[in-house]
Amino acid sequence: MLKRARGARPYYFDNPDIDRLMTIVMSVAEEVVVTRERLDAIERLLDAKGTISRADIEGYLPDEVSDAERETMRQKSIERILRIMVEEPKILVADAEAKSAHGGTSEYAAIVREVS
Amino acid sequence: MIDEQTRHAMLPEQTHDELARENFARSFKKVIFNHLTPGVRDVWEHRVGPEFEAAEGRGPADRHEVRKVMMKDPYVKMWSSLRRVSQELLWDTVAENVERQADELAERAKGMEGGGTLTLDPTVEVPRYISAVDVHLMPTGYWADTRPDDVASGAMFDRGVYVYAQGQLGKLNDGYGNTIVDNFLKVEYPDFKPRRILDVGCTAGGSMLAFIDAYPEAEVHGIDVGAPVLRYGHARMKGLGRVAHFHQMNGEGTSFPDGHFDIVFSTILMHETARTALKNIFAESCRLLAPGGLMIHAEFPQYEGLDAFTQYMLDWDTYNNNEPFWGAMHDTDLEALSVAVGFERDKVRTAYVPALRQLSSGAKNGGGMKLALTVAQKA
Repeated sequence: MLKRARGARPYYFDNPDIDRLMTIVMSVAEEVVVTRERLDAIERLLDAKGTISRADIEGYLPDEVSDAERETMRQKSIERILRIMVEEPKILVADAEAKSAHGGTSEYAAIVREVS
Repeated sequence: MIDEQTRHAMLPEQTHDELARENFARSFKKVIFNHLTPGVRDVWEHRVGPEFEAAEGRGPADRHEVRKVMMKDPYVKMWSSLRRVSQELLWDTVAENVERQADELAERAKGMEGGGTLTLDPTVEVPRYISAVDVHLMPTGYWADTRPDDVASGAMFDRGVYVYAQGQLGKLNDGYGNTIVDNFLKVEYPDFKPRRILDVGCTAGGSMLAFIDAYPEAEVHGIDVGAPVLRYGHARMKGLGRVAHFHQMNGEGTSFPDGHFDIVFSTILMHETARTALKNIFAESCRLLAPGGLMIHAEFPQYEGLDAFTQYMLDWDTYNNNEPFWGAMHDTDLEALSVAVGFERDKVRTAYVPALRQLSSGAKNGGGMKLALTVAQKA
């Protein structure tokens, strides 16, 4: 069974190798986060049971509290991996606001002028 | 996430790690939506937009002008790429999960006990607008058989859509059907007693459930061009203890007689179909309705009235998510189309209803999202 959808895939970057790399990188991210989640199950089971089997891990289902904690962990992990993307627009906005406050120059340049 | 989807008899099962992969896909989408997508708006307002205005001496005329300049921005390229990858990873996971149990699911569907009917017709041609691309990146589309008695496409849809919508479509993927019944029909037509109801493009039958439960005296029918989703839907319905009738037909032209139904509806079908097909579906809906009957086609709202940048954001799927008809459909005047196929002007309108969202506690909440219902009553 074909596991990729048919229909031309868009390539976003001038160099399509970067698109492929993005797919590979985020797949690696997935592997890491999934491993984290499995580890988390093991740790919680160990807390509860002192010793565990592979079947225990396979069958592990979180309760409502653990589920929420695991979701937070997943999202925080992904935010860390994508930090550059989370922060870049904030810097853009801050720069734009600073520019208008300092009459057209960047905050950094304004500070340099102030202290020189 | 706690696995909240109702575990009916046909739903594929997940191992610990398969569930973890689905969780990753959901969390990844959430991070994009909450942290990166707002950044795109910042990039427009503080970088690309001002550059456009400086170069052209005006704002953008439409969403296409916005798209052409945004596509060149490095932040937007990376955001688009991540969004696309998140979609692919989701379906990768669901496809792998379904493939390993596809034979078992096919057997189970064949042996499922219960009422209702399934009428397949191998002479029904899968239209090119369905077969050409796999919409929203679901492998096999809605129609391709990967083995005899195949249900893989239906199983992928049933599980994938639940994960894709992050549970917002309800535990039985019946949210949109409930929206039409609870937030529209029961409100505006509380005494309506339909005898026969038709779901056009029923896929796995999720939207039919609300109608079956709300109108126990009625016969509920669903049509689709894809055999695997119909086989799955029929078995799933039996597993849920409901009675419904599934037929392999194309909504552009069915073999039902004139005036056979009192309600003809669809849920988010229209953006998966070509413009010419849309007109045919509307015309067929009209033909199939008895006097006083209702046509209700539910979709995400049109773009009219929204600014160019917002339209560009809503239109991302057209170019990046294998939704080739999305943009054009959102520009179409669906009320005018209804009149063009024979409904009287004063019997045609658009109703905006809150889309029912199921909270994890089971309580129903309208949330902020609305569905646009194109409604027409047969004279």
